[in-house]
Amino acid sequence: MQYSHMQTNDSRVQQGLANRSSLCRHLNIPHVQPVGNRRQFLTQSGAGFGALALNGMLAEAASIENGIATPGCHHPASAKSVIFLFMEGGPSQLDTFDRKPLLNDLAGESLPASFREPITAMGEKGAPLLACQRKWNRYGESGLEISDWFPHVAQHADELAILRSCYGEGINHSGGCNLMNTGSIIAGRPSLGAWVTYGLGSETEELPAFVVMKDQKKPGTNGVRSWGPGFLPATFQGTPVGDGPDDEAIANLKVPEGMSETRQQQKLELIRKINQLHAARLPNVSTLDARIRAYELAYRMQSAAPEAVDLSRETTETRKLYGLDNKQTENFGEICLLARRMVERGVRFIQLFSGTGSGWDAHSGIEANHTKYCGGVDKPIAGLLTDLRQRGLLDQTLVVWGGEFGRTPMSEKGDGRDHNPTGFTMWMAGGGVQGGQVIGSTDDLGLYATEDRAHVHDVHASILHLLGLDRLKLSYNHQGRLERPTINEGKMIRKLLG
Amino acid sequence: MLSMNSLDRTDRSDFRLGRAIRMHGNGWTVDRVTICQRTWLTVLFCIGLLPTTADGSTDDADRMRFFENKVRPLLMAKCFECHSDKKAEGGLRLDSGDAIQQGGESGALVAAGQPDKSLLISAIRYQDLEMPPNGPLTPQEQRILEIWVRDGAFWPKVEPTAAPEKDTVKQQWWAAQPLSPGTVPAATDGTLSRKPIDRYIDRELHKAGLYRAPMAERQRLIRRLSMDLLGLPPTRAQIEEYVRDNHPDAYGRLVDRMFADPAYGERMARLWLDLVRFAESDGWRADSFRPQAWRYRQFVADAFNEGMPYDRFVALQLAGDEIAPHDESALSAVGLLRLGIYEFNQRDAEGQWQNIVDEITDVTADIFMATGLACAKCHDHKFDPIPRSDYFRFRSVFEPVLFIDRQPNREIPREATEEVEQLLKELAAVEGDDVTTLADGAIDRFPLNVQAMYHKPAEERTTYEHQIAYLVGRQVIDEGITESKVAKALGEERNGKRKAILEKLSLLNANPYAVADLITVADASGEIRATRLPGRSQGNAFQPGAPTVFGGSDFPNQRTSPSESSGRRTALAAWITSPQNPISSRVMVNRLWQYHFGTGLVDSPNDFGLLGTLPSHPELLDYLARNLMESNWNLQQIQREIVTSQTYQQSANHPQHEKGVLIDPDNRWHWHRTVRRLDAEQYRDSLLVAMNALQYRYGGPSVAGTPGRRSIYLQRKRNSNDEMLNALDAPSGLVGTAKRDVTTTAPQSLMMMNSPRIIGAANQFASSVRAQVAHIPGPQRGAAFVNHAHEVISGLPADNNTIQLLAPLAAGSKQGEADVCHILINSNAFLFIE
Repeated sequence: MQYSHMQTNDSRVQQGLANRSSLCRHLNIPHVQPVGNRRQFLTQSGAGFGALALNGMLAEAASIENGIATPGCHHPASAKSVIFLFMEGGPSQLDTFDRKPLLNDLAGESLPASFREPITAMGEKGAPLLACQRKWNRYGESGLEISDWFPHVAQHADELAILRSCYGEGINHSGGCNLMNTGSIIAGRPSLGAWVTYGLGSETEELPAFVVMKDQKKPGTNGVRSWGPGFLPATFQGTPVGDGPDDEAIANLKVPEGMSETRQQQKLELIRKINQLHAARLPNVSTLDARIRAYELAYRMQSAAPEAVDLSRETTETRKLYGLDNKQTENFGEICLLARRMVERGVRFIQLFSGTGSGWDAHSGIEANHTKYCGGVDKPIAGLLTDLRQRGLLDQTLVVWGGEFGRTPMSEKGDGRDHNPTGFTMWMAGGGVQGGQVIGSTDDLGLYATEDRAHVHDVHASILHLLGLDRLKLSYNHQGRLERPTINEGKMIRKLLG
Repeated sequence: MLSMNSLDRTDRSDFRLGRAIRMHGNGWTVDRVTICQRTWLTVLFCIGLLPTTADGSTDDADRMRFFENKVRPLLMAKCFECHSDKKAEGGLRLDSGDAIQQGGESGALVAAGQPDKSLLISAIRYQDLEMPPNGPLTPQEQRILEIWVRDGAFWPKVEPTAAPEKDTVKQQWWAAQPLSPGTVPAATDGTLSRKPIDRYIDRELHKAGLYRAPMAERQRLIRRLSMDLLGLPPTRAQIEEYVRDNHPDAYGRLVDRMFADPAYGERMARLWLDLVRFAESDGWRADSFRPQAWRYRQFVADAFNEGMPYDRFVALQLAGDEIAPHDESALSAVGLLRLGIYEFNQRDAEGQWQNIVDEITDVTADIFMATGLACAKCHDHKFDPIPRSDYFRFRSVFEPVLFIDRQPNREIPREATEEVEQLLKELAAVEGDDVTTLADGAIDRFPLNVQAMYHKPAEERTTYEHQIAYLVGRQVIDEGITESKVAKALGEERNGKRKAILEKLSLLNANPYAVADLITVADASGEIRATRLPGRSQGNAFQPGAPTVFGGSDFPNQRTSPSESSGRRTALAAWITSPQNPISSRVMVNRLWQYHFGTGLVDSPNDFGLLGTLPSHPELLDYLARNLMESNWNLQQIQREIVTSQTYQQSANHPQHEKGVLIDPDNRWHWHRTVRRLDAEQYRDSLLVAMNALQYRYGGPSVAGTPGRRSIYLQRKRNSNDEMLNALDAPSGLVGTAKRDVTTTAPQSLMMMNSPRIIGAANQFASSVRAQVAHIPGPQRGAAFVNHAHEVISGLPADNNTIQLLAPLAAGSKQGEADVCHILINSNAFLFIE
C-alpha cells in the first residue's frame, strides 16, 4: 500500500470522511456533511427515489452527481417564496426613496472636494450636481419619505423596509446585474434563485421552482446568465415564462402544430412502454427510471402551466388593481399578477424584470425616463402588495425591489445621471420583514453608503436568511471548492426584522 | 489620422491619439476596495467566531473568549503576514505568547496592563511606528488591542492543535507523493487477465467479493467505442464489418481505425474545451463574438489527431509565443490565456486587469494541477497545504503577460508602397481630426492615472502600464471609434470616401483598422511589475515558483534584457511536465479514465486535494501516470491501453447484478460497464446522422445557426445557449468544467417531445428510413421500418416486443412513420450508451 492513510475499500472512504470532518472542527469551518453522491445520500437517509420530491419537481428527476445539498431549511423561515422586482438599468435613489436636500442646494456646482471622486461608467469629469425635481411626502404611520414618482407604492409605506445604504462593485450594467443576480461581478456563479431552488426546492410538482418574467420580449443584460445555474446542475436554472415564441408560456410546453391530443398521448404511452422494456434489461440504472418519470412530470406540467398563466380567470377588479386596464402599466402589471398566481401555486423564486435591456438607464433625460418607468411599475407593485396582503400571502412572501445600482448625484449630459454602485436604495416587504422603517443611509449627496452599509452580499444573505437558509451552510462542492451563495461574505441585516 | 505604426501588430495599446498628457503615476490614486481584500478580511473574521460582549473582564475564561474571538483574528488578519513564523519582519513575531513577550528589534512590545506604555499600542495609533503600514486599524480594532493589553495581554497556554494536524496531513497528502514504482499484480485466480489494467481492477474486485461482467456484444461495443473516440455512432456497414471480422485482433484494428479518423481529434477537443472554458464570446454584457477563437479549438483538435505528446501540448498552451514565436499554431495554442471573459466598457481598467490575471491563474492551476490554488487567493487553503504565498508565486508567472491582437498579414507588396502611402494620406485628409476626437473622448472616460499610463511612451512603460494601456486602447477601438460613431462624425459623404479608401487599403493588406485575425499573448517589454498582495505597493514581492507542497522550487528567470520574454511561462510548463512532478501525469490520466468510464479513478477530476475524493485504485492511477511519462507523454497510448482492457469492454449487464449492487452500487470497482447518457454533442450529432443530414467537414471557423455541421463547430456564445445543447448539460464556457452534470429533467422531455426542431428531425429521420425500406413488400414494411430505424439510433435491431408495439404505427401512414421515429429518438435505447 502506497499511502499510509489508505487502507482497504470501505475503511478507506470512512477515514477520508473522518479526516475531513475533524479538520472542519479544528478550523471551525462550518461543517459540511460530505456525501459521495446523490444515491449514497438517499441510501443513507433511508429514503427511496420518491424522497427527491424534497427538491421539487425539476430536481426530482435529476441525478446530481457531485452536489452536497443541505436540503431544507437551516433555521425557521419567515418567508416561503420571493418575488424579486428587478428594475433593470438602475433606478435613481435620489429621486425616489432617498431624499437629499443638500443636492438641490448645491445643484450646478461640482462635487465638493470632500467627496472622493468615484470611477463612473461614462467618466464624465467634473459634471455639475443635478437637482432632484420631485416633490416628497411622508406616508403612513411610519412617515417614510417617498417621492411623487411612487405615489401608489407610498401607500404601503408601513410595509416597506427601505434599505438606503446598499452598495456593490459593479460599475457597468453587466457587472452590476451579475452581482445583484449571482453575487459576483464576474460571470460564472449560480444566480440567487438557483441557490434558493437548490437549497429549498419547490412546493409545486407541476411548475418550475424558479421562474423569470420580463416586461418586454427581448434579452436583458447578460442574457440567460442572470438566472443561470452557474456551476450548479442545470436543473436549478430559472425558467423564463412568457418569453417564448407566440403565446407559449414555457418553451416547448405546447403540443406541436398539427399534433392531436390523442396522438400525443399515444406517443407518450409508447415511449413509456419501450423505455420500460429497455429498463427491464438494465435493472438498477436509476437514471433510466428517472427519465421515464420525467415524461410523466412533463405531461403534468403541460396541463398545469397554462392554467397558472391564464389571467382570464382573474376578476375585473383584480386586473384593475394591477393596472391591466392601462397601457402604461399593463406590461408590468401582467407579470406582477402572474407572480401572485405562481406564489399561490408554490413557486419558490420569481424574478420580474422591468425595463428589460437597461430601460432604467437614465444617462440623459432622467425626467422623461423615470416618469415613464416609475409610472409603469408603481401601480402594479402597489397592486401586488395589496393583493398579497388581502389573500394572506404577504407574510410568507418576501417582495424585494431594486436595480443593479443607483444613480449619481452628479449630472451626465446635462440632465441625466450616471451609474452609482457605491450607494443606492432597495426595499423589502412581507416575508417577515418589519415594515415602516428606513435602514442605513448615504452621505449628504447620496453618493456613498455610510451608515449600516449593506453590500449586495448582505442583501443576498438576508433574503436567504428569511427563507430559512444560512449563507454558510448552503454549499456546493465545485471542483474541490466549497462554494457558497455569498462567497463566504455578507451577513443577515438584522434590522430587517425590526 | 492614425499612422500605420500606431497600430503595430505587436502592441495594439500603442494606439495613441491626440496630445499626450504626461502625468506621474502617483499624481492620483484610486481608493478601491478590491473584492479580494474584502474576501480575505471577512474570511479571517468569520472563521467560526461568535460575537461576544466580553469587555475588560479579568476572568480567565472570559479573557480566553475575548482573545480567541477578537484579538487573535485581528492579529491574524492585520499582522501575521509580516510578523509570524513564516516571516518575522523587524525580528518580531505576533503569533505566540512567548514571541510577543520577547518583542522585536525595536524592543519590548507589550507592557501588560499599560496600554499607553506599550509599543504595540503606540504603533497602531501611528504615534511612532505606523502599523499596519498599509492603513491604520479602525478605532474599534484599536480598542480591542488596547483592552487586551490593559487586561494583561492574555495568551492561552495551550495552542489549538490545528497546525500540527495540518502538517501531518501535508506529509500524507497522497497527490504530493512521488509516483509509486509499483509492480503489476499477477492475474487474479480464475481470471485470464493479461492486461495490467485488468489485473489491478480484478485484484480489488476480488477483495470486494465481486468479479467482472462478461464481454459486451460486438454491436454494443462498437457503439460504445465509436461514441467515446469519435463522438459519432458507427455506420451500419462499420457494425457489420466488425461483427463479421474473424481476425483475432478485430477489436485492436477497430481501435486503430478510430484513432486515424479525424473525428477523433474533434471529439477529444470537445472534452478538452470544456476544461479550459472555451467559448467564442466576451461573456459580459456585449457578449461580442470572437471571430478568432476557433483557432485555439483547431489547435486542440489537430494536436489530438497528430498525437502530440502531452508535454508539448502543455508547453504550447502556456508559452507557445516563447517556444515557437513564428508558428501560427503555437500562437493560437497560447490563446488558452485569452479564453476568459472580457468587458468592453470597463473604465476601472486596473481592477479589470486584476480580475483577468486572477482568472488565468485559477484556471491554469485547475487544468494542469487539479489543485485548489484559487482557495489560497484570499487565505491559506483551509484543507490543503497551500499557503497564500503559493498562489501569488504561481500568479507572478503571468505578471508580464500582454494581450496581443494580431492584425492580418501586413506585408505590403513592395510595388504598392507608394500607393499605400498615397491612400493613407487621403485617409488622413478625409478623417481630419474627427476620428482622433472620438478616440480622445473614449480615453477621457478613464481615471486620470489610467490615462497617464496610456499616454506614456511605449518604450518607457512597465509591463503593467503596457497591460493597462492595452485595455484602454482596446476600448478606443471597440467603443470609441466604432463604425457607426465614425460614420456619424464624418457625415455621409466623407464616410463614404473613407470606406472606399479603406477597402483599397484592405486589398493591399494595409488597412490600419483591420480586425485582428489571431488573438494571442506575449510578455510585455519593460520592467516587470513585482507581484504583491492585492492593493499593496510595497512589502513582500513574490517570485515565480512551484507550490511548496510540490517542492516549491523557484522558476529560473531567463530574461536578460527588458525586451525579451521572461521565460516564466516556459518554466512553468517545464515544471508541470518534469519527471519529478507528482501530480500532472496523475491528473491527465485520470481525465482520460473519466472520459472512458464516466468517473475518474479520482472522482473529483479538478481537485486532488483533501476536499476531493481519494483514488479508488491508487496503484493503477500511478501505473498509468508512469506509463504516460515513459511513453514520452503519448496520450493515445494510454487511451489505447484503457479501451483495449477487458474492464472497458465488459457488458453493462452482470449475471449477479443484485449482489453487485448491494456491495458496490456506484460501480467504483468496475464490476460492470456503467450505462452513460449521450452528452449534448453526441446527442445532436447522432440526430444529424439519423436524419442523414450530417455535413462532415474537418476544421475551420465556427458556423452560425444550426446547420448540419458537427456540434463542435457551432458558435458557442456565453450569454445565449443553444436550447438543445443546454438542455443536455453542455457547459456555457464561463468557468472550466472538468466533469459535466448529467441531469434528467421535465423540460428536457418537453423539448424532446414538443420542440419544432425535434419534430423536424423526426420527420427527416423518417424520410431517410423510408427510402431504405421502400423495396420491402407492403405487409412486412412496418416491421422493417421499425427495425431499420432502431438500428440507426442504437446500433441494434429492435426486439420483438418493440416491433410489436411500433410496427402497426409505422405501417399506417407517413405520419405514423414520423411518429415511430419521434418515439425512437425519445427512447432510452437512443439516449443511453451501454
